[in-house]
Amino acid sequence: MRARRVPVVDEYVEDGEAAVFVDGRVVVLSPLATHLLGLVADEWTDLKTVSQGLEAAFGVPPTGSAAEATAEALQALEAEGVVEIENSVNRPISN
Amino acid sequence: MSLSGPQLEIGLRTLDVPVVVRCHGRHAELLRDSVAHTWRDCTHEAAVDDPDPAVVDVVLDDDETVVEQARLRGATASTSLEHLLHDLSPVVTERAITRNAGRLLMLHAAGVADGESGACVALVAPSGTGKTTATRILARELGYASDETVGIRDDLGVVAHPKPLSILTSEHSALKVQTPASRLGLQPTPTGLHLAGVLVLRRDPDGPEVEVAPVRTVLALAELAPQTSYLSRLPRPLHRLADALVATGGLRVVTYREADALRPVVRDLLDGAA
Repeated sequence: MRARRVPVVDEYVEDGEAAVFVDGRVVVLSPLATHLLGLVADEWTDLKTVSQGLEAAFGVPPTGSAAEATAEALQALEAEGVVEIENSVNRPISN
Repeated sequence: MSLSGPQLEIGLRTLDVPVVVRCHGRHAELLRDSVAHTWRDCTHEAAVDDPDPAVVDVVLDDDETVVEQARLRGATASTSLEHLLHDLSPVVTERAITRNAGRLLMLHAAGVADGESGACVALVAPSGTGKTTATRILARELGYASDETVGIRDDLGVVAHPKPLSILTSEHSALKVQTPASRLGLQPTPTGLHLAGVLVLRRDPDGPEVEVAPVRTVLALAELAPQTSYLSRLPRPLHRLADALVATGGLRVVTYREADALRPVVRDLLDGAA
């Protein structure tokens, strides 16, 4: 799995939480999602790279593997329209 | 636009935009006088000599065909004066807002201000949820800046939109009568307006008499963004909005039963800014 950031209008970070202006709306991300977004580059980024960064910051997830938790979190970010996952069938439709 | 019949012009200025309303049709004179009356708090004769004003064409005529043709040409037209004034208000507002895209931070908010200091509080709420009612109560003592849109410059100067207030004639009518603020006994717009605070209004007839809750700025951005115009056209729009909030003590949500209860809340913000 690989992911990359979607261009956004603006991004404001306060106390580790980000407000992201994308597709005409503002999405507020949790500290974990904000950190995750920071690990995803504008170019395609491997799941392994992102997963390692997330594990280093937040530790091992209580259940499942770090890679599984990261993939799930990336899918949530994709649903919010702030990242794109390669060959994903769940990408939100932009207006 | 080419419209038949006489054309009478009125110059307005609102949201810092010169607006020329061109009145056409069989009853152009009556229309001109009525627009001049309802928009008297925005009257600005020099707008007609401005090299690039926003232009609004309005047509009042008994002939349905004339009205239909005028609409096809982009004019705001009607056989009814009351309907025409009702339709004109959002058109003027939209033109003024469009001209300010990329320049002003524009909140869907009422604005009331201290008559001496010019400190102004923006009361944000979606349409039909209390802005006009709150304005009618608060602006009996405070200066009237708007019941619809407040423009904020990057230096936190506030640009007024003192349009006529849209007031429902009855519960069963969708038509709002346009009434100038000065006719309702509201105080005139002070000079030197500057932002003193931003409140989100949440009227709850079954809630507390009045309750004020601060909102963290990162959450406030998501709360306020839907209540803005052309936000994405500003450079770094979230930072512009956040800067305005942080400089004025952050966003507050005020839950209240009746608009009278807003008075001390607004007064506190104005006094704090003095």
